[in-house]
Amino acid sequence: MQLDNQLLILFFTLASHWRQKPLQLATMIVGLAAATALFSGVQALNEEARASYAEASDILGANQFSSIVAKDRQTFPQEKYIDLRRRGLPVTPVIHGSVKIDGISINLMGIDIVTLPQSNAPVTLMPDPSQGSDNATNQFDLVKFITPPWQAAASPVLIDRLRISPDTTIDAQDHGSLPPLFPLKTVPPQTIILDIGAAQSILEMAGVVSELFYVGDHMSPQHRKTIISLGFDILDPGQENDIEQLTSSFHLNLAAFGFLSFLVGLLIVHAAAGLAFEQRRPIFRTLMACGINRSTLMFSLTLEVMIIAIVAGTIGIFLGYIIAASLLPDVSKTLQGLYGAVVADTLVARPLWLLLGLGMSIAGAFIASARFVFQLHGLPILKTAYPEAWRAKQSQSLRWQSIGAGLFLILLVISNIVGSGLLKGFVMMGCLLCAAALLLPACLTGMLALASRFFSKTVLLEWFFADTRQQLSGLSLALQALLLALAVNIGVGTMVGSFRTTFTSWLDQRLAAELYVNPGDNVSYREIENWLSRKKGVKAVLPAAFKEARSGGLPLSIFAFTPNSIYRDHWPLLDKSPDAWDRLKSTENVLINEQFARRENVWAGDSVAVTLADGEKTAQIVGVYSDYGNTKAEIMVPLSTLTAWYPATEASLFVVRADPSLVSELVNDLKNTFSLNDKQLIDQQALKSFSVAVFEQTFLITNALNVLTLIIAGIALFTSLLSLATARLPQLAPLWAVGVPRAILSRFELARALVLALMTSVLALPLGISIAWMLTAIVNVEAFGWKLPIIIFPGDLFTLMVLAAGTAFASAFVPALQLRRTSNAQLLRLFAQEK
Amino acid sequence: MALKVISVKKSYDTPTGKLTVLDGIDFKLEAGKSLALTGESGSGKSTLLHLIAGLDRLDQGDILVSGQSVREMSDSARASLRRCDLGIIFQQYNLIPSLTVSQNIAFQARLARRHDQSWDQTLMDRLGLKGLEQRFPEQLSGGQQQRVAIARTLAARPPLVLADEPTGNLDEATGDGVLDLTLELAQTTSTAFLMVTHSLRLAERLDARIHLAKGRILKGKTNAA
Repeated sequence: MQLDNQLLILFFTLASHWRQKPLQLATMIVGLAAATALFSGVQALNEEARASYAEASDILGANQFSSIVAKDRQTFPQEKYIDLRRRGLPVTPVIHGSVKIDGISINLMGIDIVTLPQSNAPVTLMPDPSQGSDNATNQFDLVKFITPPWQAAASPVLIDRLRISPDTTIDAQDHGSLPPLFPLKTVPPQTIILDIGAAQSILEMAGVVSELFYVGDHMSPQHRKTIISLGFDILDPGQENDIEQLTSSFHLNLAAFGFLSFLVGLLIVHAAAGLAFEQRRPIFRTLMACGINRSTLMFSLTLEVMIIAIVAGTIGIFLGYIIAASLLPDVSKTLQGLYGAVVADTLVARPLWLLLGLGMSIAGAFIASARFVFQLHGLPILKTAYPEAWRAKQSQSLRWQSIGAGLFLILLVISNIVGSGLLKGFVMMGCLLCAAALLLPACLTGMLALASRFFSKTVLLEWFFADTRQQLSGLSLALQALLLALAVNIGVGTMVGSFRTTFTSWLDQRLAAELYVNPGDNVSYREIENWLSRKKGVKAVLPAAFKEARSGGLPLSIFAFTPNSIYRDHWPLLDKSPDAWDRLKSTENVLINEQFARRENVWAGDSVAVTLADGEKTAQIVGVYSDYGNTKAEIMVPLSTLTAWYPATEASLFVVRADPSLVSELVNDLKNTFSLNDKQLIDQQALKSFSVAVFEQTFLITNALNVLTLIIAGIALFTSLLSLATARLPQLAPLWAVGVPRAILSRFELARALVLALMTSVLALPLGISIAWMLTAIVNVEAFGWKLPIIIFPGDLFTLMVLAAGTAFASAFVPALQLRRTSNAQLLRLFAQEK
Repeated sequence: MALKVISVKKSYDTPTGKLTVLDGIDFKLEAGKSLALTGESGSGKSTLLHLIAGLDRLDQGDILVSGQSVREMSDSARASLRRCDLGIIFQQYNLIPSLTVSQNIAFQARLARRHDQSWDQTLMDRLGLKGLEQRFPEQLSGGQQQRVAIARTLAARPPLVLADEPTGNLDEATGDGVLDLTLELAQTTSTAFLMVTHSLRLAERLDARIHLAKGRILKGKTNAA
């Protein structure tokens, strides 16, 4: 009871500090809330996407049944399935593929409803009498499901998105028509489930299956042995699905941004907590002198930190939810555009996410203030509460920070030598950013000393530079936050700008043809080809085709083209054998895209294995082309080669070279003559605009997070300057007393913020460009499979510097105004207080 | 005349009503002379010093520093007055922590555009600051810091020096030494010296003394110069 009472008194005594310094409390809460908001916002986005992938994974059976697959992960003849059934194994066949509807990539999953037990199937198609009449499953008709023209199940979200009315067939761009859909809530948004026979027919995969599900309760050792002896692999439930692997880099990017913002926010908290501790140091000594136990004092401070963290964390989670909810539709579009992954665009507040946000807020507050709380451990009770001499403290701090920076640089070199993959890129960037942040105060001290040598023409300028050096210790955390935000901004901005420039010039080269015609199934290709050939202004009609295959167990697209100078002259090759285009005449030679080359580390002169429906084909690579925006591996062969590999192949696309001035007339004629729609006729300009739009969409989230991080750095600078403003008055009062007007002092305060921000931005330039290099040379290669040249945009860098200076000016404006408006009485009180 | 204080009145608004701090103060101080301002705490000594320095505004009366009326001055003119026509020595020294000893000493003289390196050297020699030029205030003892503050004020050669308890933070021996030196230097440069102090012992060493009580000059205890 006594202890409780003591703790209560102690707690309220310590908390009285915040009543006197509400701004400091606000700084701490704003910093922590901002840190938590961006971190939890990004987490919410990732969680939502992962939840969508998990739903997809569940529906595909990965978490329900053991999967039996071919050793090469390719399709296998369905006779093998029949063989296993005859041996008494409870297996059911499944086939997977994808089709495109209205530009959206949809997974097709073919099942055998007879052998897939409905009692524990991931999706129950059979009607359940216990459910209401409006239950979607009531639309299921077994006979319609298993007999032509079939019926398929899709999520209401997908049906809504595709704007399909029930009982109508759907045109898939590359696979004819799909059966009518009925809505089923348990089907994930990007999947259509249908009978295996229907799927085999649509996907042109007759007689083969992708995998078998073992639907028995428990796989006996004997069954396991039989399966393995027949040349299969068994994948136990819980294996990560393809889409999760594909999108991992995107989510890692988001997580890295979230974490960076969290760190920037923690710098604000650290600064505020440090100031509060310094100001309360005399109180701590008095309390201990009055008999308060040291550990009780530490406990009380910890409790205080925890309460602040909970309040700030709750605000942060709320803000994070708003950020995530506003960004989710764009994230959803980006994932759809980049990976064909469909993610729900409505955010659900998940308990795990809420707890993680709150946990990070509490952990962050403890990390930011732990050093100060533990300083109490060695605080002598009777020693006078003078703060440490700033110069000694500053030089000691610079020494430790330089040692820390050195360690981070060593770690950077080590990770560059021994590391690999995406993680290596992020670790290297993290090390570089940490080292640079730690070196910043030393660099600024040096720059100020140099500036002082050249610009200290008057006594006030001499004081200005000396005083600015002294203020560095109080402002360094905010400036470090600004440095990190600017460097990441420059890095990401340069990377995106380089990418945009490279991508646009690549598009200009690659989309040299004036018109692309995709007639679909309803129109005769020959008829259109003949019609186009006779048309005035048409220079060439070049049939082309796409085909899906696999290589190394992963999906592969084959683009077949009709050889023409348009490819030879405009298709940029990154690596090539001599006479690459001529050598494509042989059906043994192929071109591959950069993604494929980097993934498999195969280049011109190497061989590549392509798995076709009737076996494997080994071809020689004669060139590697850049293929920005495509996340999949692709090979390019003449149409004659594809026809040799797949004799039944027909052209599905016409690349038309025409007089540019006649293109719009040609488009209208094609529409009128063959009833083609806008989606089937794409002119060069429209395709370029679409590609650029997809590109912009891809980096929309990155740009948004970039701006948010800069805003947090701005808050850090503002709150630091505001916190320091009170401490500044006693330092500036003597100058006022000796005749330096407040107006001049407040101008110097503004100038100080500007000078420091500009110096920080100058230092951020090489750092940001290094980050851009790491992003383009390491992270992009790992994440997307392509490497880019770095292009520097001086205009953008200048704008960013102006923005940084503007942020600093805005941050310093309020404290400077406060100083200017400080009354004589307030300044005189400072002298009176000193007595 | 270095300083002329004419019927100065000053009061402050407080929650309990108007508080009169100074109520008709009159005195003058000639160049090269020194004057002690004594009185109990709250008698208005520091307020008077602040009014003379133009750090605060008076309600009635006038103050003439080197013949210039402080009452009529704008804020910038008061700032200029402090830069060029008077110097203030604070009890807490009020040195600029980011500048070295030599930079601190030269500071006000440079502001007043009267900087003389050899005079700085003389002051440092006389005040025993030789060898400490490159040190920062935090690296000095209290006595050393106060001597730097005095040097800073005298380096600008102001016609009037105002000192607010300049030896209040020093032990008796150090305080006496610092005061002797200040008075000697003030005399050498014909500077008028006005010092606020609690100590009658120190006050006796100046040319004249004024004792304030409840905002008025106490009769019988005035020997203004």
